[in-house]
Amino acid sequence: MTIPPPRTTAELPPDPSGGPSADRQAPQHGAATFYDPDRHPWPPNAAQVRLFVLALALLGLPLAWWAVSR
Amino acid sequence: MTVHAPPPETATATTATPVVGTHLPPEPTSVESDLARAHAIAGLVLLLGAAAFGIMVATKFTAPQFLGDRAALTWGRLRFAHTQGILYAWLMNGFFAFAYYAVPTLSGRPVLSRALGWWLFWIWNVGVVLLGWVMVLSGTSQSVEWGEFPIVVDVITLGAFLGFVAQFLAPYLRRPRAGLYVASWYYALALTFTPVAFVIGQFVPEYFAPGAIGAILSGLWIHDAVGLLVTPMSLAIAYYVIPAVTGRPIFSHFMSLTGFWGLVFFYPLNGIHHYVFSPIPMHTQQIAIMASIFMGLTVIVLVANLLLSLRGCARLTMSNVALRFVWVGTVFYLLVSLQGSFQAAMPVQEQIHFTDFVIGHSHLAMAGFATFIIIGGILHAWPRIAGRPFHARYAHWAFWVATIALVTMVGDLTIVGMQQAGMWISGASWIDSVVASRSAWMIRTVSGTFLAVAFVLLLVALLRRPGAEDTEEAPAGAVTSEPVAARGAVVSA
Amino acid sequence: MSGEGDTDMDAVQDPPPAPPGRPSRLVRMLERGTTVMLLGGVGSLVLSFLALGVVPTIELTHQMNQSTPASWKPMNAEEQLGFTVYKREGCAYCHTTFVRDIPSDVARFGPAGEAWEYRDQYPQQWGTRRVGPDLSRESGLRSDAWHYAHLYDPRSTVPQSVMPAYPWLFQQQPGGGAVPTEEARGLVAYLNYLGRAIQVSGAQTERGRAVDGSTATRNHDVGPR
Ligand code: HEC
Repeated sequence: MTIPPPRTTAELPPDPSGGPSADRQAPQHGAATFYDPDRHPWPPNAAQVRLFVLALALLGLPLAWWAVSR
Repeated sequence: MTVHAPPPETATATTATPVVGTHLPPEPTSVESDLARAHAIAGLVLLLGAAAFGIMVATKFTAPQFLGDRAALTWGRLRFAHTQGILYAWLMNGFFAFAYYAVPTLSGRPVLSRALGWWLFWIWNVGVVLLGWVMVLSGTSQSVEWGEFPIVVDVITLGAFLGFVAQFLAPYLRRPRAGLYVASWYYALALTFTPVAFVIGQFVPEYFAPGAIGAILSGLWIHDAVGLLVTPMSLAIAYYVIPAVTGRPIFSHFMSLTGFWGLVFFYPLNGIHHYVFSPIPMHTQQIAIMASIFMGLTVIVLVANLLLSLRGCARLTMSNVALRFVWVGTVFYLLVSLQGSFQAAMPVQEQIHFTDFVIGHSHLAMAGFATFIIIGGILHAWPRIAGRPFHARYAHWAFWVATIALVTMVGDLTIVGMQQAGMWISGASWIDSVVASRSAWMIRTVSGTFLAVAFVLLLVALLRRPGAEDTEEAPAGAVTSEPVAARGAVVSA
Repeated sequence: MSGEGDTDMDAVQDPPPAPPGRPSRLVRMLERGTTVMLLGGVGSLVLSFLALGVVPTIELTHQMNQSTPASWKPMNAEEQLGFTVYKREGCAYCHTTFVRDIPSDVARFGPAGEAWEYRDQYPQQWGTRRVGPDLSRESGLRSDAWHYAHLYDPRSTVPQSVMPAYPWLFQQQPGGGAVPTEEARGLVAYLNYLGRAIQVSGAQTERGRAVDGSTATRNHDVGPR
């Protein structure tokens, strides 16, 4: 897998939310939005969220079970 | 679309085309440079005191008569001074320093009052830290973990902390109801959660809830101090510095949200894991242990987000020492959290609880995770709050000395902790486990001393005026072909 | 979301209409300062203190009221003074005072701790680290003279001990000896109070027994050190 080089600020796509996202900016260098919709579609679709929660549960519940067994 | 004019010193660094949807207020907000500087320097100077107490305590493990048998310098009182000093003198000063820099920038509004800021500065450092130290050493204290300073100091601490809450929440309350950047969530969380938790932890077990009930509340506070004060204040710095230095967005907003709300939900439920197999009701202990497991999973998501935000920035972390401190601090955070979840589990806890394994854990958390990230934050902010760059050579030395010393210390304590656990279970005579720990305790003292040396180097890095070749411009200049590196070089002023 | 009641924002033009990828309302709500403060800061605090503070407190109070033996007495004034010294010198940071309910602890120290044993301790001194042994079953284990000698100079009784000496709890005599002060006497009285109640009453519950069913005995101190 090749990792794309870091982009310059000018290359960053506009914030797709369109909202007043001053606060959703990366601080200080005020021009960078803090998530990149190209690489990380936002919001993740429902299936992705379900998969994520399922993965956490599948990993966490057995571990939690083990942790409280004596 | 009106766009916030970047602060003058970074103007060259951010000659970016305006991004749609940028709504920072037109006037540049003021960063409270002098307050930030004062807290940073006070924190580092007092850290040397807190570290010195720690070294004395460590030395007494192998030379119990070290410093003579004087009441004010007895092991127990010095330990009070050490841990309370680390929290109030160092970590909190560091957090306040960075908040004076970051909160106005993040919220686009100034803090509540500069005059209040100076009052709070002196109250905190004299009325909390110095007074607290004098009192515990002279024998007025409360023997409750994370609450050793006596009740007078607790009252002052509470008053001052409420002052800081007003100071740093006011900017957020003064702005329109809109989304906040991740770092701000962590500030808002820590500042609203802590005052009540502090009151319950500092006053109830001491005066109102005896025995096992007090243990429940004090256990909750032990972890609330770590999880809902130190952790979010540190993560706020990490979430600020990483995108600010790399000039790139945080990897995933979804993971930011999951990490934050997972922490909010699971961390406050962790506290009872300090008293497992105790007379506290078993299912209360079990809830705390399960919450600890899920906290570990949450941290994996949280740290993955931060580390993925640093993809492809290996060279930048090598040249930018502020980012390197934050990055390594983030890695320590992952390690210490996984270790914490692991040792909360009953089969593990049964063996390693009460040993030096746990002492290693707490040093990885406080001296590793929190301290490294604060140092990174201070170094990142320094060029702007001090008006001149730091001495990069000393800062690089501080990094390597601190890292090697800390890794040595934690590894050493972890190993000897397992050894102690084994000896206790084997039924060997107690004193054998003490004697067997001797060489490890010596290594701990030496590594702790080197850690303190790193803090001295850091102080020199901040205070000494760098020569032309001692700023970060030299290493950063070497990689200017990489646009991010150039923008990340914070000393472009 | 624009222009929500702040004058500063009036200078700013309305944002363009929301493109399709706009975050959901739930997400926008979660990003708000007020949500973070109220749901995060206050809500989680209330939840955690209800679930892990109030509920177990009610349970414990109930349980202690039922299980405290009639013979149990709170600390007397001398023991209370000793407790104060114990706290002041941070003994609890090297010694725990609760025996965990696990085989290795019970075998080494004696019956596991019971909630009612601690009901007169403000604050409890359970501790989280054992450099020295647990002291919650110390009562009657050593003579007072041993304790005094040990507190005055631990290495006089246990040559390899790393416990601090506490000479300021003693009055130096011109002839060279030392007499325990009120504080030292209180401290030793407190050490003898630790675990006395459970010796008098016998362990109340199953928890007080070693796992094999026998009454546990401690073995950490027997024999030469
Ligand atoms: C630096 C850690 C440390 C501190 C602080 C400390 N101790 Fe100890 N203590 C030890 C160690 C190690 C031993 C085991 C060796 C020995 O018996 O001296 C011990 C043993 C003991 C014993 C003997 C237990 C037994 O029956 O074998 C008693 C009693 C005791 N300590 C009481 C105290 C009291 C009271 C204080 C506070 C005034 C105190 N200790 C503070 C480390 C400490």
